[in-house]
Amino acid sequence: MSDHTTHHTDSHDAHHGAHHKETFISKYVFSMDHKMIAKQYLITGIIMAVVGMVLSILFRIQLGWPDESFPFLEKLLGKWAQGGRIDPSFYMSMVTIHGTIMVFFVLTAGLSGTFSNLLIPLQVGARDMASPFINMLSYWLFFLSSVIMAWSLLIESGPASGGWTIYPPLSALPKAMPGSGLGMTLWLISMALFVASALMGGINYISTVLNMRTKGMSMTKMPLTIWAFLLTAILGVLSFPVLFAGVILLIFDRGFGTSFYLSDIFIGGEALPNHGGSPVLFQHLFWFLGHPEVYIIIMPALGISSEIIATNARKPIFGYRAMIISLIGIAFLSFIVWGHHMFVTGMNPFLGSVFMFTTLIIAVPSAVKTFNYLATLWRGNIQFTPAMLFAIGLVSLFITGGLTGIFLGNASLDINLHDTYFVVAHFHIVMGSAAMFGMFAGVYHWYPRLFGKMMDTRLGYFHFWLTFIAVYCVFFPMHFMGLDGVPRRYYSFTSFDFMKEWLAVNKFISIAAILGSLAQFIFLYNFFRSIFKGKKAPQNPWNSNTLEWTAPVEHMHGNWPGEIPHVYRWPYDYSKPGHDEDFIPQNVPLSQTMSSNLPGDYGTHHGAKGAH
Amino acid sequence: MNMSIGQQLKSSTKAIILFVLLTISSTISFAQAAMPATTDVASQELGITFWFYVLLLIASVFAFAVINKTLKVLELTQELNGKKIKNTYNKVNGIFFILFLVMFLGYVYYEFTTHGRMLLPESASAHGVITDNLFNITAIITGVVFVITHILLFYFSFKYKGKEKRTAFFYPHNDKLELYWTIIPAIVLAVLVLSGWKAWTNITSPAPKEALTIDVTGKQFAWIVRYPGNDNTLGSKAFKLVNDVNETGVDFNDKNAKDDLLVNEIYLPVNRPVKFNFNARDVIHSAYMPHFRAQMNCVPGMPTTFWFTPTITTEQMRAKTNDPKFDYILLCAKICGNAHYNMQVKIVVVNDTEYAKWLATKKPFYTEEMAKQIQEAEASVAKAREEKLALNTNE
Ligand code: HEM
Ligand SMILES: [Cu+2]
Ligand SMILES: [Cu+2]
Repeated sequence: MSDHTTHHTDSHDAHHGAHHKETFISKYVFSMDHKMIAKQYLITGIIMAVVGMVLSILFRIQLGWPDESFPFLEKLLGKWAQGGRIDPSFYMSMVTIHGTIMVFFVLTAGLSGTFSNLLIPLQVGARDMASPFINMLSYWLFFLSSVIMAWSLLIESGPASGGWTIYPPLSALPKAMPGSGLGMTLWLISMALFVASALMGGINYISTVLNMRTKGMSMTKMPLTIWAFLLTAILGVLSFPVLFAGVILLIFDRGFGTSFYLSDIFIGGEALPNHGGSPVLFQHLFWFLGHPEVYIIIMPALGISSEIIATNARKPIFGYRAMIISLIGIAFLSFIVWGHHMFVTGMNPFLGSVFMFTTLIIAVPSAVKTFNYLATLWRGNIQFTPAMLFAIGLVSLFITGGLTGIFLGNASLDINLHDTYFVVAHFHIVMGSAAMFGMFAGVYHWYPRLFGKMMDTRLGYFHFWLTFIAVYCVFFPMHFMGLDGVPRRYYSFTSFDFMKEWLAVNKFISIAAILGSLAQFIFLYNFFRSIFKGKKAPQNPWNSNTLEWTAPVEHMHGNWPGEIPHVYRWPYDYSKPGHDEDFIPQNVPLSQTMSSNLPGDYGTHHGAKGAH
Repeated sequence: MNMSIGQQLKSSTKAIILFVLLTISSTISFAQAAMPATTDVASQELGITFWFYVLLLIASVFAFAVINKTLKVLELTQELNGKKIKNTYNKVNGIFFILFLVMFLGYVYYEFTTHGRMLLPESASAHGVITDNLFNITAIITGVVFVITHILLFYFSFKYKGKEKRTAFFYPHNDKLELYWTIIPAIVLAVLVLSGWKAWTNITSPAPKEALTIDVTGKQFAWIVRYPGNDNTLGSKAFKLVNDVNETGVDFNDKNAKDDLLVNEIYLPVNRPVKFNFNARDVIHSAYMPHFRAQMNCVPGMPTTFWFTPTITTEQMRAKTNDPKFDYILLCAKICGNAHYNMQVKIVVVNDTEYAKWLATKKPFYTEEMAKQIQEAEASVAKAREEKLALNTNE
């Protein structure tokens, strides 16, 4: 780490002539350098992921052993686990905060925040983000909102507990459950800050991609990662404000006596004066963000895996153009499918039909992407780096979880599946696990770029195989519980005769979850140890084509000493016939590769006219 | 490899020792938590099991460290012999993928044949037969896709694992192929959508006139079920009449209300359509009747409905499932508070004569005494409401 600094100072002076000296604070804390901000996002995301994981283990203990008491839980949780048994209201809180943390703090901020920040400037060939200052603000708002969310776990009345979807009236009425008191207030404040952070990040990503590409980097020469980050940012900028509005209205209903979501409520022996509001309105606002949100989570993961699969299969990504078109298709369609979360809310059945149509259409581009991944692997020369393993795992999980979406998107089937464990299985596989695999893949792949060190490969293999097996053991059986009519968000399954047969399965799931989470310690150990003890990274460890691998290993302001490299070709010239190496970086001019150039290479649409 | 083998081993040994120490120290602090506060036998026993798990954890960390280190040594010797470890690991992982494929398909088969047998019995409603059928068709189609794509994914991973001599095939796209795999899924999905749409419009169509109408209101944490009584018409209700006695706000000035019944179990005559009017008093609930493939949210301030025709009596279903204790159930599927996990009503499907018999045993819940109680409750609610109104301009 020490030689880091010396090298750093003289090279950044080379092209930012008048840059003042950096202090510890400006370099590591309030940094405006996109690479440092990426690291900040990643490490905050990892910490939040550990919190989310611990919560999930605690509630899995309750679900797996509902009749037993665990004295250590009382020591750990105090009044929330009297007699060593988790209290129902704390169970609800844990499920809620687990969901919130994983969806927003880990898989949105942790994933997009890390990789958009790291890769957008480096892969499009820019010195930094369009507005480094707003970028820094974005991280610190995220940090603040993480702190508030984590702090809410510690307050007297307990954190929010109405589920990550916080439907009012439950979330609006402190009388309805303890978590709807101060805990919910903190949740709302935290999310409002989160939205502000996401917007600042998103605006930066969009303007950087659109305006700051290096010479030659046309839109159709951009790596698929950048396409994915761009579309993700657009989705976020268009949909997060709607959640923000929803949250603000909820704050008004809670604190200022308005009735946006409240009507005809009798609770705690008392009729509330609120009249004329609609709880379903909140659901429309929530899912207008909520559905794009799930694609905000998966698209960066898909972009990352496209890049990693192409690099490590040593092949061009199959159907580059189709991949872009399907990303655009998914992005567009994701705005008009939100109603599939509301088929049984009593919404007009005609609307249900419309949402059923749009929802099943969105499965088409998703299918195209899967087939293209398979075709990319076909006849490749697959290098199994840990990143590649996770990317292949992602494809498997995306298939499995995407297919169950086809059941849920069918309104007539959803009647019986809605709010059951089938839904839990669907989204944990397609979103939770697949996106998490994308994030792991990204970390293993770009770790050399983030920290200038290599992670331990062997530990990466252990991590992958144990996690992959655990994920299927945990989530696959849940489909069948759902098909037996077992609802989600139940504190225990002991009150219904027909659910008792699932107690053994729940135990199995809990054990698999605990073992799977232990496997994550291999990752944590590897990650933090390698920062200090990892082997020094070479310039281009995976023989990759994209521009980030042309920048010096040691981080520096402005990314490249001297001129930013120009781009002459698409990023997927892997194993091109006629070339002596199996990769040709984007900054290699066509004039240097006469032996391998194809007629299409001289046109504008490179990907569209490759070899046949 | 810029360090000597000795150095490598040394630093990794240190790391392992550190890791183990960390684990031990953290488990010790856990273990203190497990120390029985009271000395009763049960908690002592638990303490012992806890220690057992602690030891197990330590042992497995050790085992893992040993395996990891052995592999490391193997790696180093291989590298010394001039072989590239990368190629070995490509081979190993490729083989793992094919092994995983076999195990995975076996596991999926096991899941379908064991857990897949624990599912809901055949649908006890008319529309459920159609949706079950649709479910099966979807399951077959997606199942085929699932198996084929996974075979390809893991087989390709195995077959094309990296080798020194292998060159990947430069194959950027094939427009025709891509067109096929866009259009075929689109057609299949269109078929599924159309059949789903047909089922959906039938299910959500207005209930037939002869349907029995039942009023179900969710509250934390119970269901209030009201039958129409002899006149077969439910009395109207209004939110401003709700109080602790008149829980759903039935308007007893409406003569249809006078003979309404409040019941603890839902009895349904077989083969007669039943229409549920749903509502909620406090927060959203969801009335879920899995055996009838029926679900509808219960929303405060927004009445909803769902209708279906039960086709199998409880007795028949007990025979079919070979379970003399089987019962239909209505449960809550929307998170509604701490006791969300226990909010149920039994449903009993019977033939017409039994239904008539059951109905005859029920007495209308509106009595003289109740009228008095309701008046008192209304007065107190009205007072409370007036006080509130001063603060709220909403009404
Ligand atoms: C093949 C495409 C997909 C279809 C047709 C589909 C369809 C659906 C439907 C209809 C639901 C609502 C189920 C219910 O609540 O009853 C649902 C839930 C969900 N889906 Fe998907 N889905 C697809 C892919 C995805 C992807 C790619 C993600 C995320 C990356 C995702 C994440 C979720 C989440 C998070 C929920 C549940 C939210 C909640 O209720 O807590 N889905 N999906
Ligand atoms: Cu959705
Ligand atoms: Cu409930």
